[in-house]
This record gives sequence, C-alpha cells and structure tokens, in this order.
Amino acid sequence: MNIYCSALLLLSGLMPMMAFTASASTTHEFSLDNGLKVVVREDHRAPVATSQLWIKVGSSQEPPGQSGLSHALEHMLYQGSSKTCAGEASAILERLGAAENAFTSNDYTAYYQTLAPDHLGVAFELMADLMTTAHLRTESFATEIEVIKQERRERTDDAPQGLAMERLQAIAFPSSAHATPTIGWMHDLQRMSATQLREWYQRWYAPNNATLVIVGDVSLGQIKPLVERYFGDIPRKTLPEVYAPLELAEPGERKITLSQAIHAPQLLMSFNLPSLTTAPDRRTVQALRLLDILLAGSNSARLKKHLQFNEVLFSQISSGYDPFNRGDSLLLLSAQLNSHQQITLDQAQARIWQVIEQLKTTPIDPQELERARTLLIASQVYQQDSITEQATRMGTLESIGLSWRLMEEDIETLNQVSAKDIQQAAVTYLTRQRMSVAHLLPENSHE
Amino acid sequence: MNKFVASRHVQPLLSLVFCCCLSAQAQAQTPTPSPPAGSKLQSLTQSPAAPSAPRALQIQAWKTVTGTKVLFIQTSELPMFDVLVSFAAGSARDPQHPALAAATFSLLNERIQGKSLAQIKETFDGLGARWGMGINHDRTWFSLRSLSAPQKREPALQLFAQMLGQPLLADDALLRVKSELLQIIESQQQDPLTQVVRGMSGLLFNDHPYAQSVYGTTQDLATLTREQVQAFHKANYHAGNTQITLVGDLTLDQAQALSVQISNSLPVKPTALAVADIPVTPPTRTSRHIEQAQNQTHLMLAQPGVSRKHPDYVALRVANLIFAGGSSGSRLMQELREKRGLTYSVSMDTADKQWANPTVIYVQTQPQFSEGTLTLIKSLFRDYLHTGPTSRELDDAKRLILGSTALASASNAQILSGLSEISRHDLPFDLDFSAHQAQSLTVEQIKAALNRHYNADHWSVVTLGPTTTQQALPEPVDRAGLGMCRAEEQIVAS
Repeated sequence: MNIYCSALLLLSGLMPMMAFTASASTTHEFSLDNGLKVVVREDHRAPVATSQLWIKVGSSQEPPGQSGLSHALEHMLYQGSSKTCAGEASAILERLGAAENAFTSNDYTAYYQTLAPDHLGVAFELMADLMTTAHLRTESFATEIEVIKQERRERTDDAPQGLAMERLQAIAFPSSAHATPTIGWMHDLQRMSATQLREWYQRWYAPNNATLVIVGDVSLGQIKPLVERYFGDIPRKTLPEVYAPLELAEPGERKITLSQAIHAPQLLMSFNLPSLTTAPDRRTVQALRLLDILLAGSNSARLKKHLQFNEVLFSQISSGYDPFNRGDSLLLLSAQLNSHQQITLDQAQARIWQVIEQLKTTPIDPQELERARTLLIASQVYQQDSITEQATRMGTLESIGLSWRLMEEDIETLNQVSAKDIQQAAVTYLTRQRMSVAHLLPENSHE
Repeated sequence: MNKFVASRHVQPLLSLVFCCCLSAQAQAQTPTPSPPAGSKLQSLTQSPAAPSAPRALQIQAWKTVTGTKVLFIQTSELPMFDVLVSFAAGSARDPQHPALAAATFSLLNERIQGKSLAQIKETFDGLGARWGMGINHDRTWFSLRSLSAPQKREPALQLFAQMLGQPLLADDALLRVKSELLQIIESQQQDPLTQVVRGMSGLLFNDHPYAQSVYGTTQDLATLTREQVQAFHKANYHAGNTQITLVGDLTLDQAQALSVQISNSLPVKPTALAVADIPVTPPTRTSRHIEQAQNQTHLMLAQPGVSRKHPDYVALRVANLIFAGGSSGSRLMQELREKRGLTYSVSMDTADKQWANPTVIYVQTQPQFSEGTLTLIKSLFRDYLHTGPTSRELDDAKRLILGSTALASASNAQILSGLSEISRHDLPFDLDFSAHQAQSLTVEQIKAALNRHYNADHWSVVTLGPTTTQQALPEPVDRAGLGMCRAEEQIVAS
C-alpha cells in the first residue's frame, strides 16, 4: 500500500526539483536596459501560457525582528496600486479566466498568472504596476495582517508537522538566516507595520532584481514588444549588497523535543549539506540527489524497504533534498513510528543510523544505482507535462543566481556519478556533526 | 528547504468543478473582455490579439469484450502516458464490513506470483514508472504514469495489470496491511480536519456506511480473514465493474491493446451480482461541537445538494462558486477575509457520492469569533437565497469558467482528470460540457435552483476548537474604497 500522505510531503517539504532531459523546446532569453531578465520557453501543446514574475527577495534576507516581511508584502501588493483598487488586479485576471496567485520562499517572491496567451499584455501591465506603485496603506494592512496571522495559525501553529519543521529549521541553521520562517514568527507579525513593508518594497522591488519567465503557446516576437512596453520604463535601482546564507559545514549535533497533538511519535533528522550554488561541483549535487533517492526518497529506497515494509518499525518514512537554494541546504529525513512497536525514538534513530552506516561502508549495488538514476531521468520527462512547473524550475534557478540552462544540462553529470561517489557523499555529509534532530512526542507521553 | 511556500490564497476549486478542455465552440463563444468601469489598464482597452486555435483533443471510447469501459485521448508531444483504472469497490460496498474494501485495496500491490512487495516497488522504480492508488466510500482507483517507449511501457503495464487482477492476497500481507490500516485509523482520530469530516458524516449519514471512516473500524479490521478479502476482490474487481481512462503518447491500437490487457487480467464478472442500494436517511441531529485545544476553530456547514447528473447541478456549482469560491471575489472571501480578516481561506463544494451529495462550506477562524462567523455565514446565505447572485457576479463567474477551460487541458494530468470525471458520471464526450452549460444560465435560473434545493435553516454544523468567551466580529472595512480609490475611478469615468 502506498497511500499518498500530503502531511508527510509537507513535512519533508522538499519536493525534489529536477532538471529536464534535453528537449525540443525552444527557450529564449533577453534583458531589458533596466536589467529585467526575461526567459521565454515555447510549449505549443495547448493555447495557454503562464507568466511568472520572480523577485529576488525572501525570508532569508529579512533582519531579526522583521521575519515575514517578504510574504506580507506579497499579500499587500494586491491591496491597491496606481492602476488598481484593492482586490481589483485579481478580479481583472479572473474575468479573463486566469489562474493566478503568488508565493514566497526563503529566497524569492513570485507572482504568476496562467491564461490565454492573447491576454498576456494584461498580466504584464498589472505586474509592472504592482511591482512599482503598490500603495501599501496602513489601513489596508491592518486587515491583511490578520489574514496572514490566520494563515500562520492554520498552516503552522495548528499543524504539528508544520510547526516541527519550523522549529527544526531554527536549529538546523545556526549561523544563517535560513532559520527564518517564511510566514514569519507570530511575535514579528504582531509588531509589523506598513512602514516596514514600504521600506522593504523600495529596497528590493526593481527590474534589475527580477526575472520574468513565460512558458507556453508564445513566440519571442510576440512577447518581446509587450514586455518592453509594460516593463521597459521602470527605472533600475541601486540594490543592497546581498549575502548568500552560508552555513557552518559541521555545526555539531543538535536536538529538540516537542510535545504535540499527534497519535504516534515522529522523528525528523536533517543534515547540513551544500546546494547547487555552494557545492564544490555539480557532480557532488547529483550524488546527493541519488543518495536521497536511495535512502528514503523513492518507493524502493532502503529505509522504506527495511524499516517500514520489513520490520514495520515506522508507519511512514521519507526523505528529501532540495539543491535549489541561494545558500546551503539540508537533507531531511522524516519518519513516523508504528505506535504498536515498543521502541523509543532513540532506538528508532539508531536503526536509521545502521542503514546510513551501511551506505558508507558497502558500495551500492549497480542495479540499485541505475534504478535511482532512471527515476530521476524519468521524472525530468514527467515534469515537462506542466507549463507552470517548467516556469517554476527556471524561475527558481534564475532567482538563486544560476542559469535556467542548468536544467537542460543535467543528465550528463547525473550519468557521471559512480557508486563510489555516493559512498563518499554519505561518508562526508551524513555525519552526526551535521545532524539536527527533532523528536515529536504525543502529548502526555514521555520519551 | 524552506519550501514551506506561503501563498496569498488557496487555489480556487475551479479545476475540480469544471474539468474542461478547449473546443472550437468554447473559443467561438469567448467574449471580448470589457474593462471594468473606470479601469486604468491600457491593455484592456486594446483589442486583443487573435485568440489561439483551441487544442485539438478527441475522445475515443470503447468497451472491452469483458465489459470494461474505456476512454482515451491521444497526446503525442511528450514520450509518456497516464492510465487510471477505477473500480466500484469503495468502502460502502459492504455495510457489514467497513474495513473490507480498504484491506482488499491495500493488498493489491503487496504480492503477486513471483514478486514480493519490495520487488514490485523495485520494478516500477527501475522502469521510472510512477503509480498511485486511492480509495473513497464508492470507488478505488490505481494510476500508472510511465514513459511510452515499449521497453519501459510493456513491463510496467504487465506488472500493473497483474497487481490489479491477480494479487496473491496472502495471509502475511494481510497481517501487515491490517497494521498499516490500524495506524491510519488511529492517526485520523487525532487529526482535526478528519475529525470534523467524521463528525459531519455522523450528522448527515447516521448509520449509513458513509458515516464510517473510509478505512473502516478497528473492530472490523481485527476480524477480517483472507477468505473475505478474496471474495471481495472477485465480486468487485471484475472487468465489468471497472473503468479505464488513458491519456498520452499511445496510438489508438496501443491504447486498445493496453485496455484489453488490463481488462483480461481482471476476474470475470460473477453471475449472481447484487449490489444493494443503500439510501441515506435525512439527518436527525443538526449540530455537534468537538472540544479540542487549538489556535483556530474549524467550522463546517453542510446540507444536501444535487448529484452530478441532476439538471440543476451546473446552476448550483456556479451558485456555490459565487457564494464561496476560493477566489478573492466570492461573497464569503469578501465578507470574511477581505473586509474582516477573519480567515485565510474558504471553500464550498458538493461531494459526488453515489447515494448522497452534501454541499459543504468549510472555514477556520479564531475561537473567539467562531459563533459570530457562523452566524454571519448563515445570514449571508439567507440573503443569497433571497436575492440570488447579481448579474455582475454571474457575468464574472461565466467569464472565469469559460476563460479557464483551456487551462484545464494544458497537461496530460489535467486531461486525465477531466476524462475520468466524464467516465465516472457518464457525461457527454466533451471536456468543456459544464462550462458551456454554465454560459446560458440566468440570474433567475440560479436563484430558482438555489431555492429548490437549499434552505437557510437546514444547515448541519460541526465545530471543532476550544470553548472560549465570544467576541463581536471586527467592523467590516471596505478596502477597495480606501484612499478614495472608487472616487478616483468616478472622476476618470466622468
């Protein structure tokens, strides 16, 4: 049985974001004089296009005491601008049949509209207006910040796994702002002001700090004049210096214990790892991605096979590694104990360590490695099914300072990874000095 | 990493409501969007470029000799395909044994001749194939996504067909599955949303099997035997009880061969087949509170709606979208979120169960505002029944529905979802059918449909959260009117 468990996906939080196999898709890029980078990918399967405006600002840039600024600003952009009243931008887009929303992460804020390509001009005009003339009024903020607090209560405070991830992240990044939760700490939301938002907006929202990604039934000839018309006159800004959130390689073993409204004990184990931007080379990153798949990131992975299906110690176990970060990253293991097994989380953790140690000491079977590679390559094909996923991959790469091209060059490096590379990656990176652990215990129980 | 990605709002449920794709008809009907009065957007006043040609998608339909219904749409752009096999084998099938369906369903991929659970998983992974499975009270479904190259496709399909048709249903696997299901049932008892849904099911369905968890009860689970599971598989996983939907890079011949392969692997249709009709009796209790320490109180309101095939179905779907769709313009989003900051999201949806179709509204808010919010929702709905939607609201909803048809068939995954809905409900072979129907609706028709089926006093209500002193709701703020925004518009317009 393999019932899809969204809670655990959320917990692992790390959708493996992968590159594509070389495809026949044509992709163009150009930049406006004001520094706006534009990437256009043609996908003519359906008369639809997605436009995503990516701003390089997220929670990892937020100063202490002002967590949640980038996300709150994202909400407030829709509350009035020179050309729109509060809520009007969404209303206009919806009347065109657009699917539209926005999202914020540690490294970026993105606004997207998926719609018929002949309405792209409307999407561009609205985005150009929202990124330059948002009112960010105090009166409007007073209501919106309440909505954001509700969002936090729903998705973090009342969600045991969401809360556990937030707390784990806080200890997993002792020396960088990756510890900051994107939604913001509640005490920071309570003291946030529209003035702070206006300053944040002035500082980061500039064409030379943004990427516009369009994927769909479009051509360069159609897109370029539209982009120039609506974004061309926005002045560039002098941007503050940015610092990638670098983390200590081996911060030392850390642990927290949380008491939560859950039925069975849960375990989160994270390891401090480099990302695509901080790793010594791309081969290391590919080795880490394969290691993740072998560990618990696929149905046939070792921890699932041995500890979930054979020994039935865990009712669920999964892992994830997200290499697409502006700074360093994590490999995260999450597991839920089978409540009918009489073992403690410490004992369960020791069993996981045995499997990890085996990865370090015994070379991977070539068939097992091939399987992991095949899974990665196949998922790169599958990801091309969605135009928004394609745009999100490219927008993410550009926003963390890399080129969208990286996703198309990936297979070659993937094929270079040997069993020895994976063994070496396990020895180097899966160590106690890099590990942070969260033990989640059902309320009224003792470890 | 911090891919806790915080979004501005929850995605509208529209794709669930109108799983559609573009057709020539839809494109021809697309009205030129008129700018809202006083809009300052240049782009809206310019005549849009010529609309793109609609995506040419043709539904092919057939029935296998053993009685399986198959729908197929060919898309050849990507070297992959998706198949969904669905059985009328959900957990309400055997009212005496609520855990039997889930146990059988869970056992299918555990063991087949020559392959253990681990080997099954290794084989799919080794082919780069993805598979999934799901169960509700009415049906179970199994999906496979694979590369279309024969050396990947053929072994993946062979394994898939064998899993569905010839599972070993072994004793030791049953033991393991029981343990897994027990874990799921226990974890559900701790999950607030599941508790709210279960509480509501109790109110709406009394002693009907719909009131039970999809995974059954611990008591029933404990006593299930291999013989029961084998009999259930024979009786419910036969080819005549099965629907197949297919999308992707396959020729018609390949698709047909594939469907025959799956259909032939299934048990033959039993001669004596009696599936009892289990009507739902009307609710007797109308409200229930579940006390739980939480930061938010969950509010769920429900009353009977109509089935997918009912003539008023589309009118009520549009009505629900206007009242409480997830988009920022719906009445509940405006009144609860935009004007009062009471909630992050709202939803209103009608379940398409075989014997019941409850329409359900769900929101979360802070505990001290829960009673006020509940009263406000009920009163807004009462007004809505009284007046119906405004013509502007209906016009906006129609544009949204029509405009988004192309979006709903942009990917294979979306097409598969629309195709499966057609199959499940015997709808016309047109992915845009509902969207077209919606275009002809009038305010009066929607108002009449609302009043035919809904009653402002007939809500069943479940709340979950802490008991606390209630406060008056915040005064509504008209944010669109802030800063003389509306007045400026009038000046521009005059």
